[in-house]
Amino acid sequence: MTSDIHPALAALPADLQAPVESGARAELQRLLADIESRALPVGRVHRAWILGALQARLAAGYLAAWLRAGFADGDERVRLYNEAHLAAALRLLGTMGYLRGAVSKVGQLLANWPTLAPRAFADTLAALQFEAPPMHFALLREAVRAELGSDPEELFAEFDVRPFAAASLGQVHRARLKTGEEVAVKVQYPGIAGTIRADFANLKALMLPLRMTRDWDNMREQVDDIMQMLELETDYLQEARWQELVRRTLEPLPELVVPRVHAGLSTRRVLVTDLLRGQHLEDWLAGSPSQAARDARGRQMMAAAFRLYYDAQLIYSDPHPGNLVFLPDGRLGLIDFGSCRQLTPEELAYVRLMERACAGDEAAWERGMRLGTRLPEDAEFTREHRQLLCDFADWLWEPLRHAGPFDLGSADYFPRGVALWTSAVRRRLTRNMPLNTWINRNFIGLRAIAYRMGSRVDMQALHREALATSTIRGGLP
Amino acid sequence: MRITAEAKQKTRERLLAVAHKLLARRSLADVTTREVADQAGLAHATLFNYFPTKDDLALALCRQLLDEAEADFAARRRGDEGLDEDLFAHAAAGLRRLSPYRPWAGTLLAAFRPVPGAPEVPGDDDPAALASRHLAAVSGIIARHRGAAAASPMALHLYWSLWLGVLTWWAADASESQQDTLAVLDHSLRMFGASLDGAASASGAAP
Repeated sequence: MTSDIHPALAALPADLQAPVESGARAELQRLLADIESRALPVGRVHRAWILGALQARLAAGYLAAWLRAGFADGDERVRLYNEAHLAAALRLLGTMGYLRGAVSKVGQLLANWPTLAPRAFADTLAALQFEAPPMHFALLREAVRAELGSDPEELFAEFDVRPFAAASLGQVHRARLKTGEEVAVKVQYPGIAGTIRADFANLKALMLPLRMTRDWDNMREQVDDIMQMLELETDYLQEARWQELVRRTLEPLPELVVPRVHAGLSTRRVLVTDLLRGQHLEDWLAGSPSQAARDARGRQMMAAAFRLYYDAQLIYSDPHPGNLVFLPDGRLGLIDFGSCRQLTPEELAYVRLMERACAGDEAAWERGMRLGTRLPEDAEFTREHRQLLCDFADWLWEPLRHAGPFDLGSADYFPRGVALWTSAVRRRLTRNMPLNTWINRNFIGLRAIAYRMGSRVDMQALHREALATSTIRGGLP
Repeated sequence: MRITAEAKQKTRERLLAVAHKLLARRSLADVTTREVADQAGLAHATLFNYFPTKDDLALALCRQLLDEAEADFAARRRGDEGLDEDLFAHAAAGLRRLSPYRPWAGTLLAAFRPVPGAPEVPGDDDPAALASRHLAAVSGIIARHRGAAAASPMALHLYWSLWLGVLTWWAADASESQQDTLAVLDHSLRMFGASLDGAASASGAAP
């Protein structure tokens, strides 16, 4: 089993493997020994299998290289300290059963942030979304039978035994219903939900040495939120509910397509939806689309995000290229709604507060920043922290303050946001309420895709249109 | 009056059919040999001419089910499967047929550790025969994908150990629809496939 972990670790840059701070090393060794000594936990089943994948090894190495680059111009001592923890964290990542899911997400993130990862890396990682190693059909058949009581061959008129896409927690197959419709069948890896829970328990154990640090409470809160998010992603019935909500919400926009869910064939671990036939981002870009087409696609994507936010209070926190389908008739398809969050009344109140803050209300700014960063009542923002928050808010609002088409693909705009974010990480100014993680993923993810598409979008006009039909007032998605 | 072999076989099948029906609904401990004999229309003592113990009756039932599973496996094959998938499909077919009897079948089968490679006695309900029939099928699968030499006694011994481990896990699997067993089986067989390839490259043979 150990030998399965080592190839992934070996993919880390050599100089990153050496300086592990002794406390972290001891904790890691204890954790690994504990994991190794346990009899047949299902987590190991997935871990060993997952770590065999070349893609996983590549992604672990690239993740390390990418994060290192973020610290490259910092103080040497701080850099080494961070690297020690980073190395320990990466080693832990290498022991995690849901690595395939995590690696897919890392891959998607890097592929979306082209200024952070070299182009070749981004291309390789973009492929992860569709080329992760599959379950063979015999396993998939049993997984489907366990959920639906019959074999895929009995349930469908046709079923392609080869997957056409890898989801972070499963894989997707083309099939045809007995009524003739072409569908996409997403099937989850058996036992993955339990594996995620077990892995997070391990992660928390590794984090224990950090409990005396100033950000411990917030760190724990964020980890809990991520766990909750991943657990939600294992429930395909929840995803089906989100998908239907998105479909209803976007129905008035004929340029957007959201596949129907076939509820009678969907369970917590199997999701059947209409199949969209089209291209993904890389293939579409390879066809050298015109500027008008790039602008139109960017507008469609942003219009969807505005509508979801204003009409359904829904944050679609996983906007990566794999979730967009470029249809030949010019429409844009949206798929994969496992990672959505609907604002609670309290969260909506917070977002309203931040909107007032960004519109110039000083008191709302102070209160909102304190809430958003979970800053204790008796603490004060440093000047550096305050400036960074202001700059980031300005960056977010800039396209909406701009009259007419805003060039989201410019060489200046998106890289500036990346630099601000990297700066926050480098200075460890990462205290955050979990909701902000979701919102930032949405904001940054969408703008990253628009940057890659080279889209010019009149964000102000889209915002105004969305507000005109909105069930809520004010705000910014 | 002499009983013909055909009549014996029919009586045996009748007893197995009754056991099949009763054990699908109730536990092995709960069903008595007297009950099986009564429902088959036989004297209690007669049952023991066919099955010396209740465990032998249960094992015979398992063997019948695993024979049916072999036919299921053959019927489902597409022909383009790899070794991992073929082994998985073979094992999964067995678990499927045994699943109504999971509360006792996994434990019962895993409790027997016959020596692999023991000669099979046709028609024998001995646990060794059950193992050797199963391993003969596995050996055929390995030979198809990696050549006959790969199906060595050591490889089959490793397979049997993994299979018993899977059965033990399966018998106690509390996960919904025993989905954890699917993961354990998949992992076990991938590991087994990798060990075959490792052995082949170590000895210089083509994988």
